[in-house]
Amino acid sequence: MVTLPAHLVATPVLERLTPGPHDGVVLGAGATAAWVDLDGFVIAITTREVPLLPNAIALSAGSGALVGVDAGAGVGRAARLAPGRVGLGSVQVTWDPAAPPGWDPTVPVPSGATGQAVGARGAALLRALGAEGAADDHQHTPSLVRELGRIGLATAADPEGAAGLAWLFRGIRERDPEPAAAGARELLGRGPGLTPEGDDLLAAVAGTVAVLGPATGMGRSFLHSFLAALVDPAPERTTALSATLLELAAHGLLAEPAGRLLDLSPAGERAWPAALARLRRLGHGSGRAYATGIAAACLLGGATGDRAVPDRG
Amino acid sequence: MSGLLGQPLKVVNAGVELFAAELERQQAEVARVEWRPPADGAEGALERLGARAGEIAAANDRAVAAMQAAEPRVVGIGRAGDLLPGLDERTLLHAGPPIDWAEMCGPLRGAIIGAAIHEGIAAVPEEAVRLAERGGLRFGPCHERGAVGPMAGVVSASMPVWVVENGASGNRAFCTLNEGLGKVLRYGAYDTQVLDRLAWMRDVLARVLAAALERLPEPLDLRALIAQALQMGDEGHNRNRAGTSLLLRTLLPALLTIEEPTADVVAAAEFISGNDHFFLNLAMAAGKATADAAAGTASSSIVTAMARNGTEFGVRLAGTGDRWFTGPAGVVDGLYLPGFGPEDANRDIGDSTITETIGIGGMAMAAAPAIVRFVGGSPSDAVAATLAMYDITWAESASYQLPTLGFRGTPLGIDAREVVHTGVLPTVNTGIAHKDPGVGQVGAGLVEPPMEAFVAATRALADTG
Repeated sequence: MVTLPAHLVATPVLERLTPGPHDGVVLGAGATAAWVDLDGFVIAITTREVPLLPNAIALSAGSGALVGVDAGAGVGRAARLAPGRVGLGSVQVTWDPAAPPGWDPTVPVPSGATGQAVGARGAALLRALGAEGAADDHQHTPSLVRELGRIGLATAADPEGAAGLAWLFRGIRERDPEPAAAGARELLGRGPGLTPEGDDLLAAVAGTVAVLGPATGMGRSFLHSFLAALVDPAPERTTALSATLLELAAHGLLAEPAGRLLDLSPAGERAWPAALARLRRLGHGSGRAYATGIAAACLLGGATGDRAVPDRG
Repeated sequence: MSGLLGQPLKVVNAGVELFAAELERQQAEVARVEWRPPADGAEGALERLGARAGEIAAANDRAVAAMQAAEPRVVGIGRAGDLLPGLDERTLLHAGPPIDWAEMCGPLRGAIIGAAIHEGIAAVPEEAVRLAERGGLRFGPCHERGAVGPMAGVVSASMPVWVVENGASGNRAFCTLNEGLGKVLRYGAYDTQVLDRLAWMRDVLARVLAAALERLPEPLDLRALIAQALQMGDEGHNRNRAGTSLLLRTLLPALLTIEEPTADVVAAAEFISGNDHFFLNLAMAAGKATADAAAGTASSSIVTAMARNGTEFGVRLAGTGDRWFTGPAGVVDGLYLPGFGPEDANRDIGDSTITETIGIGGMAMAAAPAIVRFVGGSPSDAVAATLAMYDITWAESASYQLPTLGFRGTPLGIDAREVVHTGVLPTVNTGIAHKDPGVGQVGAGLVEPPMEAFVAATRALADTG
């Protein structure tokens, strides 16, 4: 039995483990992560190279520490989860249940944050991603999508993906959940991998709108409808892991560096460039997709944030 | 050759694991020898030192014996300017080898700024910077004044310092009191909260602790406390919870009887109780008092100081006097607090590697498997880190023992020759400071000292023959 201490445990995970114990199913394991399905909520057990995820138990150990999971528990085998302990066959992850090393992925929003500040952050992010053209001209969403394709976003370079993005972005600009829902239908499950790029973009947009939407004047009704349009179809359309991350994003809970991009405080203003660099290390392209989605959502949401636009939620 | 190959072979494999694995796959008996070439530039020096092996062995025995015999005890708390030679109001000491303002990293500059304001030399940060740039401040290593300081390690004249005396050899060592966690001077912070805390430590905490120390029936025995702490899950560098608890327990009866305002005593107790690393500075002073006892042992290749200023890592040997041998300070590989990553980190900094120098800290990670939750890795990594150190140390500590290794003594007396011979660098675990002054700690991890410092030291030792 290999025992691995947890460095941090995301609060959404802690909440779902209390009270315990629970039975889960091992979905898979790799060099830097293992995934366990707990009644439809996928917990990621990650090594220290992986940025903090809102559904993660982050280990102190580095890459390769979870090798025993694949050998012992194996895909489809049972996992046992309780406060302070997750058993994955021959690997056990532990922490002090009385004083759990919790990490809260909630992004603080400074009082007085404005749509202008949100838009400015979006523009800055797009410039940092190399999409200067999009940062300077956000009035025409097809242009924005083309620019994202130009900088290498696969979804934007694909005709159907581009159409989905255009609908999604239009939903943000016009504060209308219907085109957003159309966009989500195109984007959900689009792309390879555990978390398809389309899902990453949707999660990024959902998280941005959930966290900063109120600062741009988005009303509660619109927020509810918009986020539901992005997230509700996920369980039937994409991987369990992706659906989990989408659900969390709709509550404003994102990977740590992604959340930092949304931090409009003075500390966040200093920290976001480094956070962007960290985010780009997430997955094989997920980080880049998150960054792009956040940038676009900030730009578009902030653009209309200080004008009276009918809330069609 | 045909005769040799016609019979079962017993193979000794040195170096490349692939050969050994393939032979074993073919049912051959293989003995593995861990070997790698000496560090670049060290071969000539090692050859010359090899001719003096007996002389060096005798010297190392003397140096390590002095370390083993050390009895570091806390004999008081005093004002740094009254105790450290040549420490006037315009002189600021720092961690690591000598460095000029122009080369200082962000956290060290921040600490210098804070100390200058604390001393009243500058009213605002900009004034402190101007003074530093124009030569209005003098800088020097803590190590060269008998002191050590964690992280930026800045010591100024009015700061209180622990006074630790080696009962065996009479030498003294000094270290500031630990400020606590978060935004503190040693991580380069210098805002009002930091300065207010420094003033309180100078005016209240030091007075209360000095009074308590006087009430103790005998001087605080740091060797005994460290030994106990190692058997309670500490390693003495990045995990000091047990040491701090033992310190507070030892001081408690005295604190309850001293004639100081109750509010001050309570505040002091709460301050210590709220800082798991309060004991670190005492462990460091104990380390300095122990290692300095070996300094000046002619011909000895034993390391008596390892220290970092955030830009360079410096090493001193017992047999090469006061000379520093340096290389670039390393990049720490570790766990970051949420919101930070490698892009934010400053290079390795602090005099706290005095702990590894005397066989605790990274040398004793096997005593503190829980530390991996802060520096990364798994509990087995912690044990492996200690085991590797026996290859580069001269002896095993008679005082500091490791329950997880059957009460084996910790690796003691880093032999610079073995470092360059084996390529095994001392294991160092450390806090990670943000590269910008004033932000504070952003994580903790493991770092490798620069091999070039040990190569330079070994070559210098060879030149002394």
